[in-house]
Amino acid sequence: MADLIEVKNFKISFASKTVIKNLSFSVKKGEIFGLLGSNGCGKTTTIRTLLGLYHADSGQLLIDGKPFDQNSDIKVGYLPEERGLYKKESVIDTMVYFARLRGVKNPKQWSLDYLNRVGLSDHIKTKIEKLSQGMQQKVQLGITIMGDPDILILDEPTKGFDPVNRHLLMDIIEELHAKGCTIILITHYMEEVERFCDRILLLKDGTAKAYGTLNEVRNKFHRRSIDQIFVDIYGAKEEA
Amino acid sequence: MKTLQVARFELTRNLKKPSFWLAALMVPVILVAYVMIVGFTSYSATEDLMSGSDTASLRLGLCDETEYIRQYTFMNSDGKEQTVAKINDRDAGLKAIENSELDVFYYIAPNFAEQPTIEIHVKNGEAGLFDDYSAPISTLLGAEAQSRVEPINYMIIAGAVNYSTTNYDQDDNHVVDMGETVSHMLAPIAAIVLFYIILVLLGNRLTVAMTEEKENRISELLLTSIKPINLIIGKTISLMVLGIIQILIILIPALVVYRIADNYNMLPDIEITFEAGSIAISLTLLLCSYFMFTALSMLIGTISSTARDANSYASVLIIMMILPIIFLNAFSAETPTTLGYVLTYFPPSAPIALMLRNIFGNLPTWEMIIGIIEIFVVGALVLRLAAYIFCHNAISFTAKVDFKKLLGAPRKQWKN
Repeated sequence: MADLIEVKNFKISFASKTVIKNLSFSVKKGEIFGLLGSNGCGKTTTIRTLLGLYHADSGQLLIDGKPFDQNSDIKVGYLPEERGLYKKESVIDTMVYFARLRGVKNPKQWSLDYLNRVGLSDHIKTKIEKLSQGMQQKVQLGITIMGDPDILILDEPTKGFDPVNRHLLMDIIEELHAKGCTIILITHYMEEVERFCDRILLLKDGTAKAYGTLNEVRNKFHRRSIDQIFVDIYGAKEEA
Repeated sequence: MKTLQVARFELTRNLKKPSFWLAALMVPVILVAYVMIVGFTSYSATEDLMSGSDTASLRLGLCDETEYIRQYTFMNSDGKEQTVAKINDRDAGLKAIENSELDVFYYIAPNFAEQPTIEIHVKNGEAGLFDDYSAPISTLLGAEAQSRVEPINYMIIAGAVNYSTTNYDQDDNHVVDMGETVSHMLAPIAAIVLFYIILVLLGNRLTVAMTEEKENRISELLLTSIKPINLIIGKTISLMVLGIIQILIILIPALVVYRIADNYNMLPDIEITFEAGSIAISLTLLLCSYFMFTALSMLIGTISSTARDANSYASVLIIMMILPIIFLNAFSAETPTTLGYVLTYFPPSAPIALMLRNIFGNLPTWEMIIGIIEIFVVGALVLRLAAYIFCHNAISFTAKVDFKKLLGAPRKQWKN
């Protein structure tokens, strides 16, 4: 598979603190790429830089072999970690609004179909603020996957979901993957990583500690599970 | 296209808010209530006067101990001559009231010249307790006074002299009538009143328009769907339309009230003409001013983390905008003072300064054009700056904007 995203020597700092230090990795077209690490290790900063929301102090970002340009035709769906919606608006109005912005052909029908699939068809006229946290997350996911994105970046998509809804969500992600969508998955659930990810990047203090296919990483660290490798890497910090 | 989607969404959800309509309808409701109260009060006063003057059905009697009044007839409200019965003494008059032979009895005491008070005794029947019955005796006294002095003296004392004033234009000396002056000032005054009302009613809505996305953590979802500049322009369009709706909500009832008042001759006898040129210039200035105010409010929203922060900055903006009203003397002379000129060209205070000078008639056309262009250009530049800052500050959910870092940040292109 060819590289869709190529990051070379990223360095990102805020004030005097360097958050990302000389980071290089690539994401291949059509794969599910796991971006892992403990809280504050620089995952979200890296993603925001890929989206152009932050600027790298140095380094290069290539998308489909070309320097990063937000005028490119590549469509990106992003489910951020800190996510919210217009609280006073109804579910259907919110979804239709975003569907229109994302150029979905039949915004209302698409929204109704999605809400039906995720079990929110009884709540189409409910105000967002009246929904439970899990229901709101389903709406946010719907907004993220609208318009068949080429790249889907999901920052802890299953956080707060019960097992049933987590399965439902992962089914949707698998479907998109099957259609050829490239997915970057940020998660703290290592079973999701083991089940879905083709390759991973494990960050610690803004540097890559593990990078490659699951087997490559397992072999490198001589461990059977990613979970153990995660504990090894972050446990080392505590010992230090 | 996406810009229009934002405008549509923002406009729809603002129009759905009861708070918008509450604020929007407040001014016309107050206007209509005021007109109704004034109208009712005026009508009641007229009715009271009429009921007192409507003496055709009343039996009137007068005892004048001074024998000042010689003529006992007067024209009543029906336009007919009515006679007041001459009563010889006070007791007889009171007896006649007691026996219901008279409805109203007037008594003028012998010392009237020293103590000019007239007793009015009324038999309460259909007559109201608070009705005024002084009109007949007042008419008799007036007629008597008029017949005893030179008419010109009477008119001067009675304040019946008319004054005719002619004003000459300072530029070409043509005669300026009151109607022309009022017509000139009508549109500029309407513009400043409407602008002030918009500042008060929509100011808060404008300021928080850009903080909602940050406070509710929607910015990142939005920024992967639309360019910041399109988002901001869309919001600006919706807020401009809201402002126009607000203006229409005030103007339409005001015009209806004007037409009604005009039809019922409730307006001063001045011929007012609506001057298309003056209205067009004032309207352009009003819209450009509102555009710049919207842009400045957007900028405040982008540099603020919360609505509370934004409101603090907005207070400073409002004070800068109303500075010309605080320094009104700087504009009221034939030529504005230096401060007046400074406030005319200082962008935040320019709208109200230009409107005031337009009212006072010391704003040449060329200055008005420069002022309008300045306001529009500043508004557009501020909007562009707001979009630039929003690019960099949209996901700073808690921190204030770091201008040092912002100015050093490379320019970006957005596309979705």
